[in-house]
Amino acid sequence: MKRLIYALVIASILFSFGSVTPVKAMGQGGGICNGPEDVMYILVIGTDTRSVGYLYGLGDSTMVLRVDFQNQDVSVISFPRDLWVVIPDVTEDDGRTHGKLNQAYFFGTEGMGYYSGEGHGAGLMAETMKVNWGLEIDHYIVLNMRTFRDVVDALGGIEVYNPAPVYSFHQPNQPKFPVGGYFFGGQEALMYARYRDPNNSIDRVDRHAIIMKGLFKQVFSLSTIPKIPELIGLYKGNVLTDMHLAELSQFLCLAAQTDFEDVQFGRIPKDSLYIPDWVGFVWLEKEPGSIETLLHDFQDGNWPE
Amino acid sequence: MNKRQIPFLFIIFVVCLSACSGNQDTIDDPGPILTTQPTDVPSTTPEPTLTFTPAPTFTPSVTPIVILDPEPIEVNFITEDGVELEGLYYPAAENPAPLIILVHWARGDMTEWEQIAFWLQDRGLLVRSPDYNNSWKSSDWFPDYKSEEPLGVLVFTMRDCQGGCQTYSPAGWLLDIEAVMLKAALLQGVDKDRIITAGTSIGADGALYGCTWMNQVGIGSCKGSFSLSPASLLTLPYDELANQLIGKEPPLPVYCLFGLRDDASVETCSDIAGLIPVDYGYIENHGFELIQPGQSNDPLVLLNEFINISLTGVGE
Repeated sequence: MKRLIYALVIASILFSFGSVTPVKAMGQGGGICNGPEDVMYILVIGTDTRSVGYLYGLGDSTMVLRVDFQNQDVSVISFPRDLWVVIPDVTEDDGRTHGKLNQAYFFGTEGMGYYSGEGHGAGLMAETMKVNWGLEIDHYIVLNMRTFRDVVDALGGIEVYNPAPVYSFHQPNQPKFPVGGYFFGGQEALMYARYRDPNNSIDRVDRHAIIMKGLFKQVFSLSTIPKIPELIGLYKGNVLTDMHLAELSQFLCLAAQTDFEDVQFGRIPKDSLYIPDWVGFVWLEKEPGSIETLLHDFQDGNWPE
Repeated sequence: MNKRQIPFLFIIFVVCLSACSGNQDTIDDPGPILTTQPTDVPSTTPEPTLTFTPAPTFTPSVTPIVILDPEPIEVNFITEDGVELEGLYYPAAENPAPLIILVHWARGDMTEWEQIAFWLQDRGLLVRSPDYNNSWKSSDWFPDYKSEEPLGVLVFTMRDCQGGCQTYSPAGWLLDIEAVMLKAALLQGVDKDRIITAGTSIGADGALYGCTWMNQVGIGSCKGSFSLSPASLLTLPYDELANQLIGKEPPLPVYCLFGLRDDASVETCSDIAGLIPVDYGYIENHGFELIQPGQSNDPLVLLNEFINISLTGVGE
């Protein structure tokens, strides 16, 4: 009897709740992790600034993340910093119309002040991508070298696998980073990411992607997960971003649910570019329109595979 | 009223009392068969023995008032997606009583709250233990808890978080919060219309979400939320959730505490318009680590104040 009455009470309460749809906070999309229904494009820029802050700096590393909350899909493409592009909206101040991709960030920085739109350097970089390739950026994250180094250290280091020897100018016959697995602290990771290799067998763009993979892996490692909220708190103020904290956590939530092996990394293919022998010279698109076509595939979710 | 009516009414009164104020067993037991004989009836005049048997179908209109033992009671419940969770319920000294739900951070589980739960429950189980690094896990430095009203406490461990979270599951943790709010509304001895929440770090965001969710779904009524180091960590914007409580008439209290070097929490708390105290000079800590002695604004004193304001509308 006692059980019966208890069961009836519970059943009646549950029944009364049965018609209630769990309520989400307002303004949330229908994707996984409360993310938006539309695919989100996040521009990630690593600057070459060693000091604190973001007053000046070149866009040393440029990536775009395609984040699909509906289909639980994340892909990343990297851009070469020396790529010759149209840089919009700076003619009035500077008189130029073109430049390297990393300068698109630089001219927009607060210190240079050539860009009047929102987001300073990241804003101008996003505008550059739209004008050149029709890629519309939703959000940006910018971090300088110091923050990058500190974050890697705070994570306790990252594991990477270097697939090809990386040489230095000073010792061209002895690789600075031979093929193999490494566990990098912040300073070493920074050095690996920024090394100028005269042979260029694995260039910066490739190495940035390798570092990115290592970061992803370490963030969601067992030892780091309990510290994620604290790390966000410690470093949120040291990066430039227009992402609301809730959007950051939506992205982290999706990334945590995604099998790391399913994250696709790509780069603008070297064979689609004219790459001069001299380090620091501009890289040119061999066939105009080829990068734009590639990025359309990227937006459609068909590349990288 | 004649003399013969008095014992009869007395019996009815006793029977009513036993039916309405007995322990939980009276809900489903037929109840004692009361047999008595009025003393003022002359023995020479045989009267039929008065036998009163409560109707077996009798159901009290309110939850029977039972004071549960102070020791924490293990509770289990299942989330919408089928995950079984464990919790501990620290019953109040009166019944029904308001309840506070405490939500842990990613670096630990419900056991982080043990000493604070005893302190809030205030039923003699708090042993002023020796100092364990002056942390929230020791209680020798805790202030006296001051409240006119007993309070129940519910803690639980979110999925994959025993001993610290092993997976990063913001979406799953939201479901856990919903499940614990449902459980809280069903707990024996809980006044489901006077529930409040508190949490640290991911638990701070979870506690606030749980409070707004309960009010939206209508399974009970949540009267406020207390946050230590929130940062919209569970995919939902803290400010929008907080404004749902603050925007009520009268406003429900949301306390938002943060460490000075915790940029995300500073940003989060600063986003709240009309918040009751926001800016505290805490040391460079996060979550539970804000709960340490020697602060100019003692988080436990503030928690005590929050509880009194939430439940009575009046501070100390």
